[in-house]
Amino acid sequence: MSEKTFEKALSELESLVKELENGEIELNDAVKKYNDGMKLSKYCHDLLKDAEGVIVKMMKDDKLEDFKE
Amino acid sequence: MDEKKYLTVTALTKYIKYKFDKDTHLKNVFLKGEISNFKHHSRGHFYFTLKDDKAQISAIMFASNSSKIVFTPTDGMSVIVEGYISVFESSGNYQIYVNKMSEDGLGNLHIAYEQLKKKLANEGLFDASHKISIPKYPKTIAVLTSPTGAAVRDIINIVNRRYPLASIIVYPTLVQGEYAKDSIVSQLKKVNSQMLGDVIILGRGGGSIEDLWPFNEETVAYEIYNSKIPIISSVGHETDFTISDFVADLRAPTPSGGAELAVPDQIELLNYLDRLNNQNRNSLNQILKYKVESLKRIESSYVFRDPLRVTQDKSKRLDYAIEKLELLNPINRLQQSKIDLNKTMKSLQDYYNRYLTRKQNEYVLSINKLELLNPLSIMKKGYSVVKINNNVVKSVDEIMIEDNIEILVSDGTLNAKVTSKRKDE
Repeated sequence: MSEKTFEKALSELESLVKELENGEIELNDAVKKYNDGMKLSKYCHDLLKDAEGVIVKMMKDDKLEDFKE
Repeated sequence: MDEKKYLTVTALTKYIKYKFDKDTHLKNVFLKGEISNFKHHSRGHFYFTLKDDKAQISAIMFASNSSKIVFTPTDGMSVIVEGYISVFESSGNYQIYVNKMSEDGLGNLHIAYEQLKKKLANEGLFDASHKISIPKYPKTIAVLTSPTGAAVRDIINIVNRRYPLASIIVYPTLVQGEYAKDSIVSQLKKVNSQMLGDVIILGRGGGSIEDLWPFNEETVAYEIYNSKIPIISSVGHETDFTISDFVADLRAPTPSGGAELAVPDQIELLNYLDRLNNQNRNSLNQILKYKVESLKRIESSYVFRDPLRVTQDKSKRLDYAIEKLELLNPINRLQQSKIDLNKTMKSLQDYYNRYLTRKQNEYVLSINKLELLNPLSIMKKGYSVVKINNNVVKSVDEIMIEDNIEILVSDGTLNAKVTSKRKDE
């Protein structure tokens, strides 16, 4: 899961929540979806918490440079 | 004197007011002049006089309009205003009711702005249907602004605080002066050709209307319109409106506001994740509750209360099936073969026994017959056997007179000498 973007993980989580909310689901399946949802949520949470800050670059003469003020 | 009609002051004033209000020229007046006697009323209204070197007129600007003024009017300032002329009855003054006011000298720019805005609106550049939605979770934000201003610093700080997962690429852009419009256009083209951003923040900090003017340029407007990447126009202060704001996919009041519109807030996201977790938990609990209820319902149905009713029938069918199955069971078939084999063996045995018995009987019979043939048993009846030189004598011709013969009887042998012989005819 390390490659998954925040957006992808969150949208997967949202659709799991929706499916689970629907209720027309086998118990095994429901428990699996619940667990998957919790994992995705933790993953998103950790992404935000572990983020080291926004990376700022500058496009100068068609080359990316580190941005310095 | 008595025939003359005397009007009240009120009636006359009403008539004068009516005359003013009916006049189409006075309904929409563009006026320029110098401010004097400026008063900012505590309720927000402006009271002042507009004058030139030969005349003056009272002016009022209500709070609803004066609050939109971005400069601070002062006595002696040259301004241009838009409004209508009417009469204030209680003081008997005619005055101009000002809707819009800007500093004079900007008059030409103002007109150009209004004209361009109208033209582009007619061309559909501001149509909501053309606007691209801003991505909720952008990975990369292209920032088109001066790399040295406060604007870029504000944007970086806010994105960093709100959504540290994003990255920013600053496209250094001139945002002021005569080359600014070309710089904005070429950087917009570059971002679109490189496709390095999910969203563009285009803007600059506050300034005079001339400073912000590049964002009112027609070429800039078309380039914003043509961008495939959504653009958040973030020019000047809250009160500044530019053509860019109308063409862009989203208008932000300031560069900081642009950053806030570009990225979600991680605090809200964490709360949202919590809500999703709760929702998940609730849904699962609901499902569990529902399943337990269904189970209870099933348990209380007659099948469980009186299971025999169902099982009796089934058990019969089961027995039948088992019987059939047993026939097919290889072990059973083996046992069956064993049984068959045993049967065969048994019948063989029987046959053999019967055979043996029969043979025994035959044997006994034979023995009896043999017994009859045994010479000894004949001799027991009194017969004897005569032998000479150990040969059984069968004819008198084999014997000569004086021969010594043996006479075998049942219990012994007699030796005798033949004294005579006679041959029977």
